[in-house]
Parts: sequence; C-alpha cells; structure tokens
Amino acid sequence: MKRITTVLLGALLAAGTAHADIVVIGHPSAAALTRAQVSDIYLGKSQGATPLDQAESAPIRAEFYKKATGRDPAQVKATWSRLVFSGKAMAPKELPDAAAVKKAVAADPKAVGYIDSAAVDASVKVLVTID
Amino acid sequence: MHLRSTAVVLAIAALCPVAAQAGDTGPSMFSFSGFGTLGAVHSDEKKADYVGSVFQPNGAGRTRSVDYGVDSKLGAQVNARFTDKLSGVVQVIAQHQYDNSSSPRVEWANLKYQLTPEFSARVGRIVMPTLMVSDSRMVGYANHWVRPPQEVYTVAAITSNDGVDATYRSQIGSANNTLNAFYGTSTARLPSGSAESDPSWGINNTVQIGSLTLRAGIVHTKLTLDVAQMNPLIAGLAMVDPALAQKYKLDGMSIGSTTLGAMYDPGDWFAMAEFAALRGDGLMADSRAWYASGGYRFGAFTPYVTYAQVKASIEEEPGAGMLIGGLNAAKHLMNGVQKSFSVGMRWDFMPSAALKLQYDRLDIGTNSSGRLTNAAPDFQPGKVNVVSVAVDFVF
Repeated sequence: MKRITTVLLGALLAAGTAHADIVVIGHPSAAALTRAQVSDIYLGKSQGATPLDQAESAPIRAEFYKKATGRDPAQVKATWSRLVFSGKAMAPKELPDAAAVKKAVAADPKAVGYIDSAAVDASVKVLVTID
Repeated sequence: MHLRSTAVVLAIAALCPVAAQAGDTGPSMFSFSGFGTLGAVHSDEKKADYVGSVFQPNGAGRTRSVDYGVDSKLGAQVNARFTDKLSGVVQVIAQHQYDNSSSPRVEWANLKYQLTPEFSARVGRIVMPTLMVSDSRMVGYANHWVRPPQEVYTVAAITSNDGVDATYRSQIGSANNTLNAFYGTSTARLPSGSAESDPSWGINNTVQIGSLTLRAGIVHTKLTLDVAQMNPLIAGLAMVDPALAQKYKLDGMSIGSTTLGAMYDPGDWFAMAEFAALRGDGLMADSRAWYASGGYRFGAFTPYVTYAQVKASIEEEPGAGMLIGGLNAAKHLMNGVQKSFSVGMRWDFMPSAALKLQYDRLDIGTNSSGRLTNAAPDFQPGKVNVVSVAVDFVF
C-alpha cells in the first residue's frame, strides 16, 4: 500500500514538474534581466535587446506574454501594430521551435528569446525565469 | 516637395538591387505587412456631413445616410533592412480623400540610419508626430476607438513632412526616454484646394516608466492655404482694407501648437488624456482641445468611453458689409467649436481582427459647424448622434 502511494505521489510530482517554467534566455555573455525589463522589451518599449518570438500557434507564446506582460495575444498584436506601422520598430522575428530560438540567441549577443526551462542547455544563458 | 519624395522612393528602389547583391542577407531583408478598416457611419444631422478628416469632401449625414468612406481604408507597408544600421519603409494608404476618390497615396517613405544604439536619423516622408498616436492614427487595430477624437486630432491640415528627423533614446533607471525632433515641408490636398507647410518643425519627448507614458511636444508651421472659397475673399479685402488683408493673408501663417499627453496602460484597463493648445494666425484662431479616454478589458471585449472638446477664441472683426461678414463667417467655419461624448466596444473576435461599435454624441458650439463639413445654409448647431461600426484588421 505504502509502495503504491509512493509511486502514485512520485507520478503526480513528475506530472507537476512536466509543466515547466518558461525562461528567458540570451547569449552566454548577456546580463540578467528583471521581469519589468522583459515586459518592456517584448512590448517594444525598450530596445535594450532584440526580442524573438515562437510561432503564433505555439501555446508557449500566449503563456509567456500573459505571464511576462499581463496581456493577451490580441493586445500584444495591437501594441506591435502601433510600432510597426509607425516605423518605430519591427515586429519580433518568429522562430519555429525552442531549438531555433537557442541557435538564434547563441549567435547574437543582443537577442533574447523564451523557451521551456526543460529545453535549456549550455549554449545559452538563463536571464530570468517567468513563472 | 514632390521632387523630394520621388527622389526618396527612387533612392529606396535603387538600393534594392544593390543590397540584394551585397551578400546573403537572405529572404528576411524585405517584409510586407498591412492594415485596414471596413467601416460604416450614420449621422442624424441632415444639414452637415460627419467626416473622418479635413481631407474628406463629404460624409455621413447630409450627403449620405450611411457613409462607408469615413473610416474605411487600406494600408500596405514594405520594410527593408539593407544592413544592420540602414533600413527603409514605404507605406501606402488608400482611403476616401480630397478628390472624392480612394486612390492610394504615400503616407511614409523614408530611410532610417541607426548611428548608435541610441541615436537614429530618418530622411524622407515622415508622419508628423504632433500627438501621442498621430503616427498610428490610421491603424484601427492598434487603437481601442474607431477613430481618434476629432476635436484634438483634426486640428491641423498638415499631417506629414518631407524632410528629416532624429530620435535619441535613453534609459534612466527603469525609465525609457525618447526625444525626437523633425524638420520638413509638406503639401496636403484639401477638398477645396491645398495646404502647404514650409517649413514645419518640432520637438517632442516621451518618458515611459512601466505602464505610464508621458509626452510633451511642440510643433511650429509656416502655413499657406490655397482654398477656393477664401482666395476671392482676401483678394476683395485687399482692395478695401490692405492692413486687414495683410492680417488675414493666407500666405505664410505662423501656427504653433503645444501638446501634452499621458497614458496609463497596465493591461486590464487603460486611461489616456491629451491636451493641445494651438496658437493661430489670421484666419486660424487660437484654440484649445483636449480629450480623456479609458476602457476595461473583459476577455476579448473592451468597452471604452471618451470625452473630448475643442474651443476656439474667435475674435470677430468689427464692421459691416459683405467682406467683413464673409471674413467672420470664414473664421467660424475654420475654427470649429465642439464637444463630444463617445461610448463604444471593441471585440477581438479573431486573431488579427477586431469589431468595434461606437456611439458618439456631438454638441456643436454656437455659431460653429464643429468638425462637420458641408454645412447647409440653414444648418443649426446642436446635438448630433453618430453611430459607427468598424472591422479593423492587420496582415
């Protein structure tokens, strides 16, 4: 009985941690960021870093923006539309998956991206965790 | 002016093949995007037209019961990234305009050079940054309202500049500061003639700290109006009273504006307000306009309200006679007095598109036709009810 409980608890815990945090990653030489800085970068208010997006259909994208900026996809799109159509900024480049984000970020010291914390490896640096 | 903008467009076109050969900058050098609005407006004022801007010759109310030209528009933009420092943009918009057509016109066409991460300069056609959302006023999808408050946003007939601008961004602690200055000339076609600015220049500064944005700016314009109804009036005045004709000359009027704006946008709700003081000259009177707008987001629905007003200090010329009468009438026509209260709802019903429904209640000032145009001789200023439906989209 005790064994089964332990196994069940273990399974539950494993299922819990499968829903991993989102982390903002950057080049290994990049400085850490605050959540406020991440929000400003991803809403085009600050040009301190070059933000990268995942695909519009990827669930992590909506989740990231909700947690980091408090806004839903339509609001974020409206914010970027204002910037793009007034020539102030270009919309963040869209990349197909976490591997592409890591590759792009490792190649550009100014680029930042967001991926599942489980996908982090030594090629990139975690700048802040969004939970 | 026309030569200069053609030169810029040609310059961008000329750079394209050069940049394409410059190396594998890849397929991401050019990007294409666009925006649009499909809108319908009904106004119950049968003796004047409700229009979207001073550039529209007719609208809803007197000319048509339901007008589709007030807000409908289509914009297309090409962005080019030639090097990591040099980029260009061309934006073309088609909407109901001065000649009653919807032929496309160039709204933006400029080259931008990023000298340092903080400092950039642009040359070409640049939208004049008079107010907080002047440079995105056409992009319905970017804004909550169907159109910016006309009391404040349709003060000037000049909305863009052919010239240069410079922008300096800096970070002070967690605050982002953007300082911008511009200089240029412009010619705008009006339903009854044209408005030319030679030059227009200005400075504005925006401070953003978290959800709060504060903005202040000044614009100065040397304005020349060539308007069918006004020219004979001033010419007639010159024969009778040269000093008065000089005071009201349509050539080289010195117009200045000071604007202040604030916006708080934490995400679930927002509030914004702007104030504009215009220092006029001759037929253009001094005026003050302001608005306050706010809304709350309930999932995909954003109800909002706006209150706006514009007041002009019109000093009538003393005296009798047709010329003086015509002069004073022109002053009242050009400097509308109006206030309005709007309530509306935005529904983000699908990605990249939003449906809006807005009700505006206008209160036109005495002796004025406000921001309405085509007022009939027996037009009486009073209350006007306007209903608008619009679908905004981006692509």
